[in-house]
Amino acid sequence: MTATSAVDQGSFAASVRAAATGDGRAFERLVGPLIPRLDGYLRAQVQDAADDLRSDVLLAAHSGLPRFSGSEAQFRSWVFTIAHHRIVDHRRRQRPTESLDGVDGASTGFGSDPEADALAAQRAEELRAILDRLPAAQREVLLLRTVADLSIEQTAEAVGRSAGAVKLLQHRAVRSLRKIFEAIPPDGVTRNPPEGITGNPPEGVTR
Amino acid sequence: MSRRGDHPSMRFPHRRSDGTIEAVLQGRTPADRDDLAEVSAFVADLRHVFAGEPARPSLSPAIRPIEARTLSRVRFAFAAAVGGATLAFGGFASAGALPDSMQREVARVADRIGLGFVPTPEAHEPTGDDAPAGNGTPGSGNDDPGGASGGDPGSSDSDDPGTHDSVPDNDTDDDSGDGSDHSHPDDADGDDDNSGPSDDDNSGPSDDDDADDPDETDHAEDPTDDPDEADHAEDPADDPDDNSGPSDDHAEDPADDPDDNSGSGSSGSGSSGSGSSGSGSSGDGEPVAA
Repeated sequence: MTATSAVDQGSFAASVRAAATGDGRAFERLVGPLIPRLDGYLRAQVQDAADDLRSDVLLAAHSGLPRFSGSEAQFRSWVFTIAHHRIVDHRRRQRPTESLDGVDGASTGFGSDPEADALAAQRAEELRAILDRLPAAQREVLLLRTVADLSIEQTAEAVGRSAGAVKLLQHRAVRSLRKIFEAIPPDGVTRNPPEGITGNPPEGVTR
Repeated sequence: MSRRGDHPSMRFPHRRSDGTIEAVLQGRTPADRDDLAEVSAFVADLRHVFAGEPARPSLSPAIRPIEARTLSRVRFAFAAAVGGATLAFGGFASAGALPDSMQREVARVADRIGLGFVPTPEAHEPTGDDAPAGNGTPGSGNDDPGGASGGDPGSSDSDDPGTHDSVPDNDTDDDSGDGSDHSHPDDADGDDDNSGPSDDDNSGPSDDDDADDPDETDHAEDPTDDPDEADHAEDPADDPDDNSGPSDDHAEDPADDPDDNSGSGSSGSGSSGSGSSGSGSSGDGEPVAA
């Protein structure tokens, strides 16, 4: 079940044609349902450049739409294929030093409640820390299957592998996660939370 | 040529494995794979945090039963505590051992709802308090208490005269002595009472002894019956205070012929009994004569 299932196939094809000719609303109808999961997929892997990458992905989809032909499910996997490639490129370009400004509300996409945002950002950071311990291929498959909610075939198409390879990768990902959690003490995952969430007062502020 | 997975024995493990992985990727823990509970929870968190899906309703199923068990234990402990407290409170109330004010309230409420076995504090105290009043109205004095306490004629009534035999001053002690009232053993101990520097005790036991004698109440009606006065008047020896005074009593007390004690009531009674002249005199009579 995809998020765009509400759009039937006929109207979907019409929307693709309209969007390809520059109809902004048609394009919005096509990609709008994908945005939340696309955001999550990007945030799960690159905390500091998710917004930029999202813009890149949407721009690439819009510019490549005239060359696209297929069903709604294929469009979905096509968009995430673009996202996957953007992330790979980003990781290649990425330097070892991590940016520390990736937990602000803009980059995490949270709402206006500071406390909830901080908690959500912390939780997201914890999840990312675990994801980072997975091999890249397993992490990609896991996120495409869970966050992007793609099927095995769609995931295979997105990452350019066979369905069998995707099954194997997801199986290994689950096994790796189990080993990771077995190694974690019962009191939970303790990592160094990003600055600003630890409760340490900023400079110049005295308690 | 059979392809891989055609044979059931080959297909089943593969299918089950796929189903297990699919369940985990959906954020659900397979029924027979508790070892994957954490992975499932992690995937559910991924879906919640990054994909905006609803939060996981609960922890892994392996944890849920423990919570239920803990909850039932807490409930049981709470119920047991409340039941125990109620039982203890009720026991104290029926024994009249609660603080006066509380006892009074409890008795009032109990009476209101038809429970007559909760004594009022007056059932004990008034005895001492009534004594002076009883002095005023001799005859009724001792009778009233019985009537007042109405409830349990037996012991409590009998107590009254006793305590009243003793000096009003002793009331406080008597109250404690009520303890003595309740405790016949003390009387038997006579020793304690006698030996006890608190002469009041002497009066105490005497009370009880009076209690032993049903007749005593009758004596109370005697003109002399003012327990206190009469006693004091008649027989200085009987007066507990006198114990402090003249040594006679003490001399006599130990003696407390078994007879006297048996008169028992007598001994102390002697004192009180003395009030009652008749029997008391017998008991006291000897020593005095001696």
